[in-house]
Parts: sequence; structure tokens; C-alpha cells
Amino acid sequence: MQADITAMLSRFAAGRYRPITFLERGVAVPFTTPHLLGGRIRPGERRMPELVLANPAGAEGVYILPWSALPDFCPPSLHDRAIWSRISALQLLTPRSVQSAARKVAAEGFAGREAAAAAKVAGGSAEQQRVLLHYHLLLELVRQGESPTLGLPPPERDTPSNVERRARQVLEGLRQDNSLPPSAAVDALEEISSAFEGTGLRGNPTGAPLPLLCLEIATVVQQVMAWGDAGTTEQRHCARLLGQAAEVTLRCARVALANAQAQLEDIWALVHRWRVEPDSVLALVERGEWLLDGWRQICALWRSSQPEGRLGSALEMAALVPVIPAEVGDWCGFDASGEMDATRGGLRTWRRTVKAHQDWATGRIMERNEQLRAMAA
Amino acid sequence: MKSLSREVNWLGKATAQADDQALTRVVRMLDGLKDRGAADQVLAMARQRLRALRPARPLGFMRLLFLPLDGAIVASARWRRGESQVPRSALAPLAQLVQQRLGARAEAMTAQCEGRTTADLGEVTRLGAMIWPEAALALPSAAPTNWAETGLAAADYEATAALCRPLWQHGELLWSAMAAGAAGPPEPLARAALQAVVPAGPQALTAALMTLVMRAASPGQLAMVAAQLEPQCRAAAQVALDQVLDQAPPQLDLLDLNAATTAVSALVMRIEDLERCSLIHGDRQRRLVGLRRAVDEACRDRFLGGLEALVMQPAAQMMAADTVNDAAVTAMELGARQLRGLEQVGRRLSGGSGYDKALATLTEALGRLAPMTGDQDQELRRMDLARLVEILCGPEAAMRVLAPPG
Repeated sequence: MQADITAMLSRFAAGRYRPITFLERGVAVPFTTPHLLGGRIRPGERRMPELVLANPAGAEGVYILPWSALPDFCPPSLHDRAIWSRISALQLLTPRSVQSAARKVAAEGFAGREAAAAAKVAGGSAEQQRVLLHYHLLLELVRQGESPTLGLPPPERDTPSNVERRARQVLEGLRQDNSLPPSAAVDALEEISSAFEGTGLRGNPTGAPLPLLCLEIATVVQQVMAWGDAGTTEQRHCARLLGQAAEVTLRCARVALANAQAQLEDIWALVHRWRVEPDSVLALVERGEWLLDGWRQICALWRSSQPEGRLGSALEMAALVPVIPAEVGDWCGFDASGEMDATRGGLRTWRRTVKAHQDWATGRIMERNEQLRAMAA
Repeated sequence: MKSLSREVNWLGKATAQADDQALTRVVRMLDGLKDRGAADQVLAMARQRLRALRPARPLGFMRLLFLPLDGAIVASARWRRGESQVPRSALAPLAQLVQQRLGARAEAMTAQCEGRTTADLGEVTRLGAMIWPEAALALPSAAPTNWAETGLAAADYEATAALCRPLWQHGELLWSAMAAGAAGPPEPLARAALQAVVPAGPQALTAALMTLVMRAASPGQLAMVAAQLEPQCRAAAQVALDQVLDQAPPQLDLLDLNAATTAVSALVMRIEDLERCSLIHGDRQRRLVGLRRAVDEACRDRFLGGLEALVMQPAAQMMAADTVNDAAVTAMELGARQLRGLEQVGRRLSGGSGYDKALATLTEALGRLAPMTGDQDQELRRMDLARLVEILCGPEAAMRVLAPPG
């Protein structure tokens, strides 16, 4: 089976894979079929989507196939067929749109009941996150725009309905012409809440997912390093490289999140910018999502592994470490793409030792991949 | 007394019929008793199961001492003079004899065995290296005074001791090959162990070979190694092969699915290895074909039984139930996955048409249930049935269950 797939894929080999932009790198798709694990989708020529697959043997390079050809070269699981079909219909390919589509598929039970429950919880949390963030934005707006001479209590101690009323008053006070009525500004704030759902506010008072993911990556890497230190030289080397890959990613993520959150320091200005040029706001906000795209699965791989299976998990993690596209260098202040490239070069040694999915026929790998869906919903 | 014997008999039968986990628990409990008394008789009735299951046992002096002769030990009733066997009744007197001869050394070794089990391979290697060579030298030429308790003739002592001495003398080599049994054992290890025993004569070689084949993933290859050592070793190799071919297949219906899959997988490897062994032809060839057929049938029966018990019955029950919880559906999926594992191994024994037929029937049966399913989380849903089919038969078949009628 492995040989068949490799032979079939060979005509799609794309050689060295050094994407310039995130979009060119593609969005990670949480497939459960063993051969598709780590696959990404990206817009291709004439906007027809393409499937980017890592070399199944772990060697450098990727295969780039038409998205529509996916079921032709390997029978996808029910879950993956549903994801394939749903993602095909997406107008916009972003980590968030793909995650949302994948959650809907999982919530229908395609990856089992555990993953369905986790997807529903995650979907509910995202909704709560938006509401909470919207409320925090109102609080922030009151703090930033309300005159202290009014003698009102701090907004966080006031009731939600009063906070909303006070926020409207602030918006009314800030309005200098007829361009932005308070109701439109409140609507814009709701849209902004949705846009900032992932990054959240500075200090993350709302528990936004991306800062939490950064913490999780750091925790997992700590565990990986501890495992490496207690193991063989080979394990130590592999763990160190995984740690380096995570560190480069986290350095960039910190910059991306700080830049995104900095926009919230002047909410009135942000509301205006949102009305005029929402794409420039979104571009800053989405950097973190793009950067960390794929790391949830990497962390879940580690967390799902038993102590005796750590090495196998580390090898799979090595195979999944995402490339950092060159565009990151434009805003993160160092050659992140080059550093990641060097680290991935080192990790290649381990990627090549990844064994073929020997027991995929018994469904064990698929079962594990479905667990990942539940853990990284 | 008669009543006790009846109880022991009943307990022994129950133990032999217990499922894998229960049997392991009983063994652990009985092994933990200070004075086992009649417990040994209980375990004796499950001995065949224990050989297949090979649970970790406490590492006492006697167990460690006789590890290199493991495959040559037989129940006293089955012991035949001149057949390279050691009757179980002789073990205790021989162990006592060695302990007496070694004195304080034996006591120290016994103390070091405390708290360890046969699963501690490294410890067995370390302690065995100390005990086996000394035991080989310590065994006297004359039978001990309590030898009559074994029920054997005095003359049988020397024959038994003649088996023990060389196998203990080369115990380290034998154990190295035994411990690597799952990997063949690799030819260099097997050759070194057997070569060392050859000068002790065909009886000792046969005993060593019987011990090695018991744990060997490649008994045929092992027999070939033995047969090529010396012309007269061929007979010993054939005796060992007979032992393998006469071994009854494990009672798969008593094993849980994972254990059954492991057991069948090991047997498939052994059978495939035996089929490549040029020492097997004629009657042995026919017995080997019979063994393959018996294992195939047992595997298919276990699969069909599991399909009914773990998939069809629970699915039907859930259809009729007022509420269905996630855990029950997940448990059914787990059962299906385990069955898939058994089926994959089982297909190596036959063409697989039996499995295809069973799975087609299952798909049809679950497909018939599909229109009657609900769409709430608390109900069995079409998706749950489709996933069962996906796990067992693949996504293409599952698509048919998932597709709306018409």
C-alpha cells in the first residue's frame, strides 16, 4: 500500500518546498486517514484548491495535487471525505475557516462521538469567546473614552447593561461628524470581537485560544526536552530540534500577537480603521493564526502518546513541523524562515526514519488520529 | 479429603476455562500464597493455557533453576523414559539437592530472586548466570534419598541429571536464545546455544531444542539450524518439530480479542516459518496443513462470535434502548477495531472469503438498521452504524450505509 501511494504520488512531487507566503504554505487540514495526516490545502492556479502532502517516506519535499483528486489516490475516511467536500465549498481559505468547517464535520460524528462532543464544546467556547471579547472591548472603550471627572465606578464593577449604555455614550461623545453613528460603531465592535477571537486582548483576560496555544506549545516542548534529556543521544538531539522549531515559532507568534493586540489600545481609532480598511486590520490579526496553524495537532500528538510511544510521537511531530514562509521575516525582526529551514533540515534525519503506517489497516492509526481530532478540536 | 479433591478438581476446571485476564489474576493470587498446597493442582489443570499465555511468574530459586529446561518439563503422568523429558515430580527434589550442595550461595540467590518475576529478563540473565553453571557442577551422581517420592526408579535419576547438567552448564547461552525467541531467535544465538549442547548427546540436544522451540517465533528455522549442526542432530530437530506440530492451538474463545489477535499473529508467524522448513514433508506436512486449518477455523469462529457479541447484539440493543450514551457507542467501536485487528491477522491463514462474507452480511444487517436510527445524540444514529462499517469494512462500504435511501 505504502509503495503504491508513493509511486502514485511521484508525479506530483514538487521538490524543495519554500513557500513565500502563508497562503502558499496552505492551511493545515485535520485529516484522520493515515496517509493524509499533515496535509494542507492552498489555493492553486485559477483559484482551484490544491492539496499539499508531505512525502510519506519523510524525505524532504512535498507533493502537490489537485484538491479534487484526493479520493483518487487514497480512500479517505468518512471524516476526511466530508471535510474534503465541505472545504471545497469554502470561498476563503484561512486557518479559521478551515477549522470551522472541520469542527462542523467532527460535530456531526464523522470522527466518533468523543470528537463530536469536543467539537461542540470548542464551537460553543468560540461563541462564548466572541461574546466575552465584545464585552471586554466595551469595557476598554469606556476606560479609554470616558472622562474620569464623571465619578462613575470602574466599568468592570458595573453591570453589563450599564457598561453597554456607558459605551454608547462614549461613542456618542467621540463622534465629531455624522460619519459613524454609535449603533454602527457597536456593530463594528461586534465584528472586531469576532476578528480578535483568536488573539484576544493583552494579558489574555478572556482566555483567547492563540495565547493559550502558545502556552501549550511551551509546555509540550518542556516535556519533550525533559524526555530527550533522559533518553539517548539521538532522542536528545531530536528533542532539541523540536524545541528549536517551537522556539522560532513562538518568537514570531509573540510578535504577531503583540502587534495584533496593540491595535486595541485605541479602540475608537480601530473602529474607524475597521470601517475603512478592514483587510489591513485582519492581516495583522490573522498572522498569529497562520503562524500557529498546525501546532495544535503537533501538541495533541505528544499529549496522546504513552510513555513507551514517545519516540514514535516525536518522529511524527518532526514530520509535521510547519515551514515558516519568507513573508514572516518582513515583520518579525529576524530571519525566522531561514532559522526554521535550518531546524527542519536537522529534523529531516528523523522524518526519514518515520516508519510507514504499518498497522493502518487495523485502524489503530486512524483511531489515534480521531483522538487527535478530539484533543485539538 | 475426597471433598477437597473434588473442589480442587472443580476449581482447576474453572481456572482452565477462565478468560485470559481472570486466569492471569488467579495465577497472580496463587503465586502470592506462602503455602500453595493444593493450589499447584489447580494450576496444573490450566498448564496448557499458561504455556500459551505465559504470564509473569514469581522468580523463585526452583523456577529460575529450571528455566533452561522449560520445554522439556512434562507432567509426571506423561513422562516417558528416554524421551528427553524431565517429569515435574523431579523438580523439587533436584532443586533441594542443588540448594543443599550450594548452601549459603543458594540462600543468597534465593534472596535475590525475592520480588522479581520471569518478566525481568535482565535479572533472569544476571541471576541465571550465577546459578546455572554452579548447579551443573553441584548435581551429584547418586540419587538423593528422597528420590523415591518422585515416583521414578533410582536409575531414572542419572538420566534426568544427564539432561540437567549440560543445559545448566550452557544455561546462559540457552537463555540468551530463549529471551530472543520473539525475534526468531536470531540464528547466531540459536546456533551458539545448540552447538554448546551437542557434545552432551542427542537427548540433551533434544531437551534444549524443545525448550527453544517453545518460545521461538521461527521454530522451523531453529530446527534447520539444529539439523545442520551434525548429521545425528536431525532426529532431535524432528522431535522438536513434532512437539510444535502436536501443540494444540490456543482456545481463542477464552481469550479476549487483543490476546487472541496476539496469539494468532504469533501462530501465523510460526506456521509460515514451518512451511518454509525443508525438514517438514510427508506426514508432518499434512499435520502442518491441519494446524493451519485448525487455527484458521478457530480464528474465524472467534471473529464471528465477536462480531455477534460486540457489534450486532449491542447495536440491536441500542436500537431498542430509550437512551444511548457516548461511552456505549465508543465501546462498540473499540470492539469493532479489535475485531478488525483479528480479521487482518486471520486473513493470512486463508483466502479471506469467509471474512468477506461475514463482513458483507454485517454491512447488510447494519444497513437494514440504518433507516430506523434516530438523529439525536441520545439515540443510536446512522452515523454510528456507518462508522462501525467503516472500521470493519472500510469507508466505501460505510458510504453506502450513510447514503440516504433511494
